[in-house]
Amino acid sequence: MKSGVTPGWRGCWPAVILLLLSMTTPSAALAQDEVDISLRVRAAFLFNFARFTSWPEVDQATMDGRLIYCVVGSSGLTRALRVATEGKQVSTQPIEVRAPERPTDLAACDVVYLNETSSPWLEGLRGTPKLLVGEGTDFARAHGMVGFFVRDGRLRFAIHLRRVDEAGLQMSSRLLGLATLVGEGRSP
Amino acid sequence: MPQRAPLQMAQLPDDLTALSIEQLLDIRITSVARVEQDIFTAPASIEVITHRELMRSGVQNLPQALRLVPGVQVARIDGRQWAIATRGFNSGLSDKLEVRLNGRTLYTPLFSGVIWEFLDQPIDDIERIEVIRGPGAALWGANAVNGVINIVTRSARDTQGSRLSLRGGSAQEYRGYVRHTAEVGERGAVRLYVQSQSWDNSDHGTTDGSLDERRIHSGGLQADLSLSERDELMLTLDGTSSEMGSVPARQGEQETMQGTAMVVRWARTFNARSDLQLQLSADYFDRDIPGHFGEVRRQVEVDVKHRFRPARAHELVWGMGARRSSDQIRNSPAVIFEPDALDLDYFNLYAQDRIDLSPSLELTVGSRLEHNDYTGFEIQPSLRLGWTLNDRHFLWSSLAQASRAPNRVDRDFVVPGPEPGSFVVVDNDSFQTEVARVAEVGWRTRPLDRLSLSATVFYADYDDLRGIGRNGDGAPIVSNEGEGRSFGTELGASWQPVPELDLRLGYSYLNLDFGPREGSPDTSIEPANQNDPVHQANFRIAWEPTLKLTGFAHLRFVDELPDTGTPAYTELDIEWRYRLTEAISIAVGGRNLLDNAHPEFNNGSQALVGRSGHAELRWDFQ
Repeated sequence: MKSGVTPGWRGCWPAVILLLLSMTTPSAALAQDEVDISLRVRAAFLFNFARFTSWPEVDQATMDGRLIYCVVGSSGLTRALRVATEGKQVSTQPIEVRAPERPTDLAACDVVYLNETSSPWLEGLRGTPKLLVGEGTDFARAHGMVGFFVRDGRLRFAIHLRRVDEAGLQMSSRLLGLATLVGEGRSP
Repeated sequence: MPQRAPLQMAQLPDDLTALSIEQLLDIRITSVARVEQDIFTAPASIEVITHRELMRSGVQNLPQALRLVPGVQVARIDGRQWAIATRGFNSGLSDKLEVRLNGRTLYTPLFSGVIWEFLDQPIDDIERIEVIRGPGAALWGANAVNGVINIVTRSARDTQGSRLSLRGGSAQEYRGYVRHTAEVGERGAVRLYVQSQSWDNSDHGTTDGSLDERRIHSGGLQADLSLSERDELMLTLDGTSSEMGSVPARQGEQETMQGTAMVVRWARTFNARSDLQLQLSADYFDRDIPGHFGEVRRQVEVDVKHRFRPARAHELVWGMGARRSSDQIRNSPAVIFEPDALDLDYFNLYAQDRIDLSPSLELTVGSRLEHNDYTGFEIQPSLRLGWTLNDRHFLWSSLAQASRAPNRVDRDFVVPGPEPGSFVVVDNDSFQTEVARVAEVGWRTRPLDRLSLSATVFYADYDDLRGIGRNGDGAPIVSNEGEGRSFGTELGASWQPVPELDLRLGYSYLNLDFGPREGSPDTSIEPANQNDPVHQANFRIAWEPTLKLTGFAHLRFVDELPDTGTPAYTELDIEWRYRLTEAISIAVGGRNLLDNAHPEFNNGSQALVGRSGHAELRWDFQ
């Protein structure tokens, strides 16, 4: 009853082969602007994390009016964060971006970004009112409090809420609502 | 058309701290999917509902979720059936909308529509729903005449731990849902889920006395795995079984439907501007309306999609796919498909180039060549121009041609008459493709950082619409009898005056005029060409006053549908959620709070929809 129409995809095999060949070509190293965008987005997130987090008041008195970011292990992010936060404030606090060289330099920091998980840097940070940010949901899970990760080509972040609480920090529901929550007592 | 729309690098402001967190989350830093761009600079009438909005709105199924989108016509016919369309031609058998779940085409070649009542994807697992109003055929193929809906489920890595959700409501609706996600090694996760839902017969009954109770049970899994830095693998498996009430004459006999579906996708990212995706999907279902009609369908589809930059200022997406849809119809004395078993093959090849004409001007040229067994090749071109005036203004326009290829109902449908040898309809091998030519102009603006507005105006011209004609012997046939045109507008406003408050306003106007072409003997189109609301408006508020409490309200107005005798109505849905502990939350809400009972659409078995309340308990645990 139907006229037998030949499905015409046999002629397309050359295209399929071409496609498969194209997959074996080595992928080019990430172009510089792609590295930049990844750092710039991280910097913008770090700025926003501080905006949506409140520090305990006792600590604020010791902060000498500045919000201090410490970036460990990424000179690129240090640069990107300096550019992003230049002339800006969080609440009324001017921003300073440091690249500490020794773990003991972290004492004055309010936001710490660690691009490594070696223990000297982590020791002594737990429970102190510093917002701790690193790479990967595993970082958030193991060390807290915030871990960047890439999903579907976009930068996301995981938050370990209990560690944030333990440190005496408070994050806005808006920030938490956009995060992937990890750790025990996780909520949607 | 873009599937989803992160900001393009070229359009990013120098100072990214000026963007909201939501916008930052949308920036593509590496790439996996097809050409994607910011919603703000997408040259189409596009709207996205995110997981977050779905969860706080308290919607329970996809049709309810689609009500949130301005310009989508969603009407509940009865407890079993929905009529859903964009830009008109709505009915229980709407056939001009392309709907995909994780890239798998959901429409059946039986009538080119979606069996909405069989779609049981848990809302908790949906990442986003993208709605493109208007033609999307150049990328999405021969059903995307008036719109495209893409449903994307959450990556298993985003749903760690377990969830239990129990829900009940005064409209005799019940839902139980459990999911558990387990990590697979360092780089993957798999989610398992079971969902069971049921609805009793409508309180007010149905107009034809049929029973519209329904039960549906689903289960399945989704696995997401990073094979390497640049290779992602996704697998979904779903199984669904449902039972529904039937017309009084067959009381006690249930309509049933069982099915399974699978999607396997491998995506490789070469770099931020180049990626490749291979997808295999398959599904099987068997539905039975005892004594009336039965359909067993098996479908397999393979798709390849490749995106790259052949030259500076060009971004090319091309792809191809093949689909086989095989059916076996159980004919009855009342409804006959001739032949009763058929294999339909589809093949497509498409390409779309996005060309930066200047830093602010972008031209998208694309076309899709599609082959179907009924009419051979269909060409579906589209041309879109986007103009970024500055950070705050974007203008776009488009011209497109889209076709709705013939289906089983168009070609192979036979309805015997009361007398032996007489026919209400006989099959017709000459039914041709329905064609739409559409022009659109749109404008988006961000007058304030937290306020954005969008407006689209469209005009569409339709030819060869389906009606009932006569063949050479004078016998009635399904044939191309109608023509028409539509114009209208879709407006949207979104405002977040403070971070805790999110306000959305939507309005759509649709002036759709179609009827039999001159000289046609058709009498089937006129009584059914005013089934679409001329005006629709909605207003939503999402409010998160504290970390523990969220509130959501959705007020909507739907204009009358003269041909179905459905008066205009205004309705309000509300949902409050309170977090008792970090793991346990409860929600209470109400639907259709503004009246006792009203109809939404008359398709013969219409039921009234009215005020109802519900409550939900949700527990997240390890």
